[in-house]
Amino acid sequence: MNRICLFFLVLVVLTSCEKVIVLDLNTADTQLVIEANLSADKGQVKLSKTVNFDQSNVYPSVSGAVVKMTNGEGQTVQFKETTTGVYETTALTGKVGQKYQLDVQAEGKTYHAESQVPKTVAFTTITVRSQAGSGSSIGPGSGNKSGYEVEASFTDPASETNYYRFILTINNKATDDVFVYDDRLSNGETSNRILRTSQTISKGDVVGVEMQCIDENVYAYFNSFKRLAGGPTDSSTPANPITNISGPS
Amino acid sequence: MGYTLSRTERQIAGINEGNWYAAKQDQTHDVALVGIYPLTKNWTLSASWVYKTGNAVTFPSGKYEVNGTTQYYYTERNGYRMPAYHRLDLSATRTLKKRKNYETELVFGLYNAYGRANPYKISFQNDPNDATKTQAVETYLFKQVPSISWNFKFY
Repeated sequence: MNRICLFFLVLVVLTSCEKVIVLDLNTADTQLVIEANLSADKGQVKLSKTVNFDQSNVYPSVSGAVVKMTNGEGQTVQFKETTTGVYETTALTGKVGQKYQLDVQAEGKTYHAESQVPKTVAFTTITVRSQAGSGSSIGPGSGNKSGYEVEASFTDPASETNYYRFILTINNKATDDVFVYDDRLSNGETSNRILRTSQTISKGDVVGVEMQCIDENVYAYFNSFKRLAGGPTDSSTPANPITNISGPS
Repeated sequence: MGYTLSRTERQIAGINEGNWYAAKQDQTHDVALVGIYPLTKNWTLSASWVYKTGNAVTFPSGKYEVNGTTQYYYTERNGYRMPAYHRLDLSATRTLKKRKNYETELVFGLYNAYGRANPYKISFQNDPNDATKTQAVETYLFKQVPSISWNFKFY
């Protein structure tokens, strides 16, 4: 009797499965993807396009666009295309507290965005410590295999709302994790943020940490981007991340 | 035999650009067919077939890349449908004892007799064997599930 029950149990358990299917997905009109950064030394704008789901992951760059940025004093600078799809300038640099406006004209359509350079907050320490390899993974990017983990410490100013973004590079290649934080629960205190990545950091690797102080709109974008990165799940319906770029018009 | 035709839509400001969209649980068609056939004095055969339209879901209509991470591009909310759900259940019931106060029977059942792999969820990922492609992965739960149950009824 027991063996019959066991047989049925095994039969049921082994019949559930995953398989790769081919879905007939719509092909939406291609959209322009604008990634724009302005720091204290330079400005860089990358233009690329969306592709259909069944095409390969090679995203075409957009050449020949007119990329202009205006600072808070009304001065406008046009970016120059250095490599295909990448437009840069050193004539305009980010000054704390100023609002900058971006205007992109590509393929006959115009796009506009605004952002403000927030107050600079620097990190105080970066700690690299060996990770005991507990490695529980829940959610994208969490859980380390055994190796090392990187922790950035900084003191958040109490007087304002701050948003931060970290970029972790391992051997000069950025990981694809998105690290964004606000100061809702840590306003005015020292924060220790472990930058959890699914990539293993081994002995001898060179680790780099870039800390960006971002404004609220950029935080809203990367926060929603991070949470959508897995695609649809059983319990959530995805939508496009909250963008601070308006257009096309 | 039963058939239901229905439609559930929502409109919420700020979602789907303020347009009406199908609720996830919107089930256009819902068909149920049940047949019971008394074969002999002790044996009864029964079959039931259900068919339901799949959930309204949001699937990617494109993809792009920011910072090296693949992100999917969505157009309207709940504009796609999961594949339809249907299955056939068969069972044979053998009445063992039938007395004034109680009745026992043995039921041999086969759930999902033709083994339709009704998808439980469909997710999207980069192809683990080919980094230049993305793929859709369907998870289904059960194909055929045989069962034996013993029922005891008392009045």
